Amino acid sequence: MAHILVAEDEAPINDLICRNLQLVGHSTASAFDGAEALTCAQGGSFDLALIDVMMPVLDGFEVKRQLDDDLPVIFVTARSDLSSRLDGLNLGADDYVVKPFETLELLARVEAVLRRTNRQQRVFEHAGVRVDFDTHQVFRNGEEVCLAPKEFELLDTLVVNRNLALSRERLLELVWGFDFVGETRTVDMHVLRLRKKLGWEDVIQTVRKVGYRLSTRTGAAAAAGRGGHA
Amino acid sequence: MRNLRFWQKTYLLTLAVALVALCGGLAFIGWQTQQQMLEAQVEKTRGEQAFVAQSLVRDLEVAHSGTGAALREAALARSYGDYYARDGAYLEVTRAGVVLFSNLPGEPEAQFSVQPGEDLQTWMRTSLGDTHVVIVKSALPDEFATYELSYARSLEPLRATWEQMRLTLVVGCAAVALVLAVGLFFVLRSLSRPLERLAHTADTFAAGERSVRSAEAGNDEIGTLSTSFNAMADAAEADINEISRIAEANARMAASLSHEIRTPLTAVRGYAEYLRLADATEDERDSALRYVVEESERLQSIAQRMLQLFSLEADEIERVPVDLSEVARRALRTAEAAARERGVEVCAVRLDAACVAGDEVLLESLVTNLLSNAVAACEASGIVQVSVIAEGSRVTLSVSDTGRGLAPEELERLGEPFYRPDKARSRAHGGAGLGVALCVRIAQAHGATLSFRSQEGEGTVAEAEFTVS
Repeated sequence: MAHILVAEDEAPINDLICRNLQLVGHSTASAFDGAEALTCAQGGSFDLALIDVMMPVLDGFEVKRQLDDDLPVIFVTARSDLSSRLDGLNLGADDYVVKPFETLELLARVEAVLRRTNRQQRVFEHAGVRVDFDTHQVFRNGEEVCLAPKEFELLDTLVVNRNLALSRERLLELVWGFDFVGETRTVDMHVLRLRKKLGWEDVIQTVRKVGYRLSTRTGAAAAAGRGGHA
Repeated sequence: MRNLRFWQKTYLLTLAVALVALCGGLAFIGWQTQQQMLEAQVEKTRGEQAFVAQSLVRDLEVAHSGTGAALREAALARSYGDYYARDGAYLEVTRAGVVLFSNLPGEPEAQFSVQPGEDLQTWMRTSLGDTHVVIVKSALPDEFATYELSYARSLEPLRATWEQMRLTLVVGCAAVALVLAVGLFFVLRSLSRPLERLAHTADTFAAGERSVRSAEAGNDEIGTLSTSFNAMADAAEADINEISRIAEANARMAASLSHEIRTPLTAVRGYAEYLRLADATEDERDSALRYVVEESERLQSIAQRMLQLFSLEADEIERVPVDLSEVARRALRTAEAAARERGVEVCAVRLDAACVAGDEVLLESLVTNLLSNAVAACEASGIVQVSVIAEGSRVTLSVSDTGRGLAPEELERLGEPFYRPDKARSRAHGGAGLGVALCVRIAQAHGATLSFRSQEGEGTVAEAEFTVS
């Protein structure tokens, strides 16, 4: 999908961000200080850069200044004060995320920036199913499948957040909106229908005590001896 | 009255007082003069009446020394009357109550009788008809005791004089009042100018310009006020600067603390979410859990150090005899492993057996912290040395390194909690910045002084000096 540069000097956090990005289908490259980040960005072709502000050698703001404007940038940092935010945004960053962040939120913002710069995923294929996000068409083994609007939106959400479990409440919020007055059973029913229509009984997993997850790693995960649910 | 300026109040009140005094004084003087003039007139009239009485007596004697006395008397009285009328005086002569001559313009308002006895005059001021007069009456002496002479003079001329005098006084008063009003106005207003300037200076200070001072000189009250104001401004400016400095230091500390805590928290939260939501392999889960543990430990270490820092500020430590050289040896052993990893050599140069009164754990903490900072500052093949030197009543612990050293600004801020010379606060190059602050506190709690010397690029020496009795 998108090729994303993660510039963060704290190894555990760099690793965390990369893992999450990879789960939802992006490819990543890591840099651990400002100079490395600059070299990396100028050398490769990235769709987005996640940059920590407090880095050694060159700080995140300085890196942004020296980068080309056509590379979208999201700052990720512990500095939550207003002036830092303003500085970041005034430099032309596309977004500014404060640590500690919620994983799904970070991913949503990444997706939003990719959409804005037209680098989002257009097509998704897995286990015999092909989804075209531009035309809103779904094909199963070559034959078109008819999906209701909400079913398609649910599919979209699951694909964008693949390999991460989403709670029923979260899915209700994301697909049906905050104003929707209804029960989470709506979600269950839609998932049931999706599974049936796409033959994805094993792909859309029920994660006990959490929610639903679209898994593209089932094969690989099973081979690597995936453990039980949380 | 409340809305007037001070000089305006002073002006109005002074003017009022001055005018009241002036007019009151003048009025009083005028009244006094009037009374005196009246008195004089009365005395003059009395004198004249006495003189006329004397004359009349002589002339009556002459008249009575022949025949036809009555006729002669009347003519005499008349001639007197005419004579004195030319002088503006009124006359009445009676004998045993019968009027011989009178040109009084009217009856006196009240009857007043003559005192028995010769030469005793009675007099009063009264109106005779429309004319105000002073009238003096007496009985003629000796054989003419039945004769009464009344002599009156009009007070009109006096009155006219009084009126003119009054007019003059009023005009004079008004003129002086005007001069006073104008003069006082300008005088007071110019005197109050320095006060206005001082007030303006104070306003400027209050608005934020802390360096302004009053330029008013002089030894009067305003000069004194100005000097006092300047002294107050100096003190206030110094306090404000101090408070700003402290506030800045606190803000920096808060920002650093925030960073130090948020970073491990991000990892803990992130990996916990990952473990819950992600479709991960067993190995992936395992490494995630490892991160959680590591970062939690880091948070714990920070929390522990902060608590230590706070408790050192609050409590007194318990002191027992501690051999500093032993403590140093133990700390060395702990530091050796990490040092070897970096390729840094740690060794003891000289360890005198020296007993200080203190807390063993805290002292070990002190040495360990200094050692780990020294090791962290060095590159590979750097050297860290420890020594404990006892000289008389002084025991000096020193830790030196051949590491990157510190710039003067960095050296100055070294004891500040959370301060790190590395602006990025990167974990690879150092801890949370609490170590030195802790060392400073520990030294303070032991009554020792901790000082740092450093040369950029060459190394740093940390020295803790203890006093033993």
